[in-house]
Amino acid sequence: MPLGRHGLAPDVDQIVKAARVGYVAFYDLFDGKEACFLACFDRIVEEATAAVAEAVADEQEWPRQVATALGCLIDLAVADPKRARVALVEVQAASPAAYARYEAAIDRAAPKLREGRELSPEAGRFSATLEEATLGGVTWVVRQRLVKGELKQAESLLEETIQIALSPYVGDAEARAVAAGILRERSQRR
Amino acid sequence: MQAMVDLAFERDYEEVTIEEIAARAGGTVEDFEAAFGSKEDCALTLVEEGWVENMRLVRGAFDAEERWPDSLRAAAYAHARWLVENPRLAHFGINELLRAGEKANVLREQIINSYLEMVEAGREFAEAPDSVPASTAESVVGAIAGLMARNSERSEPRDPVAAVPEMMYLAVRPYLGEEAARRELTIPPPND
Repeated sequence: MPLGRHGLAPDVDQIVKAARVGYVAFYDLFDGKEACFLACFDRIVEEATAAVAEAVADEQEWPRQVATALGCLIDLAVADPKRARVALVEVQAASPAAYARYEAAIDRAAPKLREGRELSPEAGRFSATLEEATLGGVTWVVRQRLVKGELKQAESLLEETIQIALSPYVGDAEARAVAAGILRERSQRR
Repeated sequence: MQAMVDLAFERDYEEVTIEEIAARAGGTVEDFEAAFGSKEDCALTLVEEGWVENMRLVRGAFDAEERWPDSLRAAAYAHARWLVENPRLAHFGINELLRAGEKANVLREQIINSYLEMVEAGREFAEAPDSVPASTAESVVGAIAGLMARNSERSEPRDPVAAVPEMMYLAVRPYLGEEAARRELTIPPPND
């Protein structure tokens, strides 16, 4: 599917032309434009999930797992902003079904974040919607940077999103320390 | 414009035609086009007018209180009450606007960002303002907008006024810490 060249809604004509396939081939695979978009979104999420799983495989501690996962997702967005735009921006406007897929993808990440409650003595008194809200907030910040074309400042974005995601569970100081450690390692790897 | 709001509440915005809006309003397609030009422009006008009224009330409530988070709490209740009093317009602005075209999406982001300043005012009262991440207000407003969108799409949405303490918890925690945030969960709504 051609990404990011036709605004919010490329039509089937534009899709088949960009993909250099015929209408028969297109309709063999998809019922229409929406089905094509949903398949595209699913694939982006599936590949990002696999990349995150690989990135965090060697991390033992929950705060570093979350921080590394955020680093991986931001790196993916920087490497391919068109795909990120489909997954974070266009999906919200495409159709009610697409928006439901987006929310479901966010929901799948919530249990991982909720594991952080085990690290906080105050966890029993946390708001029930904390994870949903935190993920929504982090996603919104990344989305805004993407829309404004500011993803090049990826390290500051990563530092802030790590702090936002971890602070409720490990406290502000520990969240800052984890963020600083991850940024230092990334800088050394370059 | 009310005809568009009503039809979009009954079905998806995308499915609603100018013919239907004109018929529901008791006019013709020509009348509609003379007044608004297009369906998207009608949607934009509608939401902009609602937003102006909403911001007048919300900002007024915020400015009437001297200290944060009292000011933010007053603004949140003003906003929640506006949502209760304008359920169809709120649903349109929160959910349907997403699918009303690119200009509508720009407007939606402007609306969400217009609440940033009231949240960010909490930085002044934070123990260590510089250690609060720069994008905190953005993440709080984005989180609350997401929760509101989900709530609005439920078959039986939660009362927005009842949800204010939890939204305040989310907004206060990054600036004033867990204790102050948890206090918000126990503060009853104002009487007015």
